[in-house]
Amino acid sequence: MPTPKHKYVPHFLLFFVLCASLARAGSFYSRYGYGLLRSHDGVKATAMGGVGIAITDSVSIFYLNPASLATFNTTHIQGEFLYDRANLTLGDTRAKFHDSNVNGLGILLPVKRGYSVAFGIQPYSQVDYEFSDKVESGDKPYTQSLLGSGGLDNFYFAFGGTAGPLRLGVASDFYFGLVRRTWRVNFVPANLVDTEDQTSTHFKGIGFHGGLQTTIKRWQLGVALGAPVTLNAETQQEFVFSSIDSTPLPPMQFDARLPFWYGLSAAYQAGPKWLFAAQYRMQQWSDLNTTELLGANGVDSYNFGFGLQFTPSFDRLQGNIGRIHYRAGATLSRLPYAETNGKTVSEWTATAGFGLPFNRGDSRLDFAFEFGKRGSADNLSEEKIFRFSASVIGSERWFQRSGKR
Amino acid sequence: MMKFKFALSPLLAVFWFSACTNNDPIQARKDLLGPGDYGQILATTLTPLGSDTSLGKVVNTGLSFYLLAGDLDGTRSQFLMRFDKKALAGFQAVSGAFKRTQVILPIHLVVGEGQDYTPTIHRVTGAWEEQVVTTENFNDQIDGQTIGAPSFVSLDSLRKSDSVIDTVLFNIDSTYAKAWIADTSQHFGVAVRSESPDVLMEFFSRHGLSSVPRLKIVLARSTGKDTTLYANVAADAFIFSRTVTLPPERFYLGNGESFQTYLAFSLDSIPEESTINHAELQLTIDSTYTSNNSDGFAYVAYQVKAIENTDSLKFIIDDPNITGDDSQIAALGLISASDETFKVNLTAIVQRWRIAPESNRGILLQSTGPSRDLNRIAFFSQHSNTAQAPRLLIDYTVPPQ
Repeated sequence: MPTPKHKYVPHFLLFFVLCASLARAGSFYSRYGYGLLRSHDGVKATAMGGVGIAITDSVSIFYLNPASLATFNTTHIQGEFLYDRANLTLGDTRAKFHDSNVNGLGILLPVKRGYSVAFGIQPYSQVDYEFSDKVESGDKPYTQSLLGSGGLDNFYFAFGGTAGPLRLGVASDFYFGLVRRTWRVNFVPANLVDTEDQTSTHFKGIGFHGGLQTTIKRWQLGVALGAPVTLNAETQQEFVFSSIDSTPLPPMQFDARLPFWYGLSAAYQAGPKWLFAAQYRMQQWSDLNTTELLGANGVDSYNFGFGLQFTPSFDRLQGNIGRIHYRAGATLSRLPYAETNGKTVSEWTATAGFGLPFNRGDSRLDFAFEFGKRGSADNLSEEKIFRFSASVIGSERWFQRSGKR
Repeated sequence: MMKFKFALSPLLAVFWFSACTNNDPIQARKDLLGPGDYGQILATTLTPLGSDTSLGKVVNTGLSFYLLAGDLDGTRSQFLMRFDKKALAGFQAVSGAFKRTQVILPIHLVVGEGQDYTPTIHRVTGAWEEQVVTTENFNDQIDGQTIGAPSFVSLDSLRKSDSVIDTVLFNIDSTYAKAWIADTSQHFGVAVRSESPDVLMEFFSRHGLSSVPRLKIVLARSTGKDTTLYANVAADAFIFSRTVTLPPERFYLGNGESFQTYLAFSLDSIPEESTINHAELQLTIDSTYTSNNSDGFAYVAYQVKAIENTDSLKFIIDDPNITGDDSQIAALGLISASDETFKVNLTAIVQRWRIAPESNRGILLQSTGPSRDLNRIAFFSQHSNTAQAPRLLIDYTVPPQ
């Protein structure tokens, strides 16, 4: 009995649906604006210091530069998983928290040789924090807590094609999401009723981004940019009163924004085994006022990364283990929000990972490990971060006639 | 396929590992976060923006459980009592010589610092209606001469309930009883009063739950045996008058005199989106002009719906007895005789006012049982004593910006 071609797909989907139930994370800095921004370019790029604008390998779906889609010949399904852990130092307080969550799902369909479309969904940002302050002095001791949850998600539809030596791509992005903040005050004296104030802001908006790639001898060059996005935002405040029924206030509507961004990247193929790449990406968050950024003070963010990949062999006779891709890199970035004292917040990471090809090399399991630090002693919070991400990329020949009967 | 499964196992291991770990909240003092992260936890004290005490209207006490006689805390009381005329008419058929005629009055309570509490009994000379009569419409239709002498019975002999502390027996002249039996239309009843200073006697009325007053007539029959006849009380009420002048710079609550007090506060200083964690109205009692017995003073605070200003202020509230809707009741409580401060929890109503400021028309404090007692609570106003003026203490929170 022949094995069905799409036998892996249900496994992938089941795995990522299970992971989705674990959404939970935390960072001191996720309380600003839209929260912490997620990386967008897949596990391979993550393992190589976040570089993905210039490179293409006909397996990974790189989101930031849709020009990379032009090199695919088979249908690809890509699912990503992220485990995020942070050890936080805030004043004299230390805390640990973690998150495991789906970090994106994507499907690529080749239209014809040199042309492909892709669509998918991925988190754009994540808000998840919980602060607590216990005050035992005075005649009305209380504990107050501040909880934030939610974030923005991004559904994209991308097209990549070829024009002579250039690969070009454009993508339409639909942003949506909810950022919820809850403030609770629980009083110890029984005659004081507790406070629970909840502010929920819904977002939706459409944006566009695109890019170019070209290969000049051993060099791969790429540029990508994204247009500013206006998000229709609606804030709803609800107060849960213990003494009487709670009454939501009328919703307040306003425009929120995501700023223009651009990225430049170059990769050098040093022989068949070595690939080196570097990338710079910048986003103009300082263009946004505090209303457009949910009360946060925006600063221009940047992300500089470099990385390498070593592949011992491309010979199928060496088996899958012999063809593993080994990757390493580093990043240095600045967060898009200034702290309340006006200081900017930087983050650096050292990255490593590997890719395990299977299914004749068209499919792959990618793993990436990141270790680094967010904030510093000069900032309010210093967070040592560890992230583990993995992706499953399955390649299938959908909608294509078989050459043989 | 087996290799694929092996490759998936590290992912599953991470999945399960993270699923079994909990995140605790970060202990973060307010100074470590930004000024708008946590909300504000605040408190304020408000003084009345508007206030009013109605002059005490003397009310009818025909449904009271107790009948008061005496002179205490600036109020002089006496009570009226009329016996069942059908019973009296029925006594005509019973022959015999009048041997003894007694009015039996069980006592519930004696209060005050006076040493002597001897009551006197008098004949009422004019008609009165139980649920209408007051000092103002009774016109003092009482014969000044006493018609009998009191005696106090041994407690154990007549006690029917622990709440009866004593019983007064008035042995009255049988002439009056004969006249009542002969022509019941001339029976207007008796009045009981006490001239003793600083003592108030509280007798059970015909509505009393433990014991009731009665008329007892003993007839000597020709057979040598006595016949005892009883007539129940058909109508009773106490009437009273104030003997002192109450200073106008106080606020008053009362039941015999139906004082009521209106207070209004402006909540403009509290942001609209605030949560009211506690709101307490505090009133300081002026004991000099307060008369509160050991049962305490039961009050109700109504939310005022509207105010009509004609000759005097008229406060409109929903009547919970008619509509079955008690949403206009802001608070209920009891002021004990020993209380020096009168506290009313208004948390829920202040929260409503904050949500809908147009509904904030103040509160009206009243007695829950007008005409059932003779209590008066006086408390300082902002005009009499600023330090002890009514104040509304509010704890509230303002959400993060």
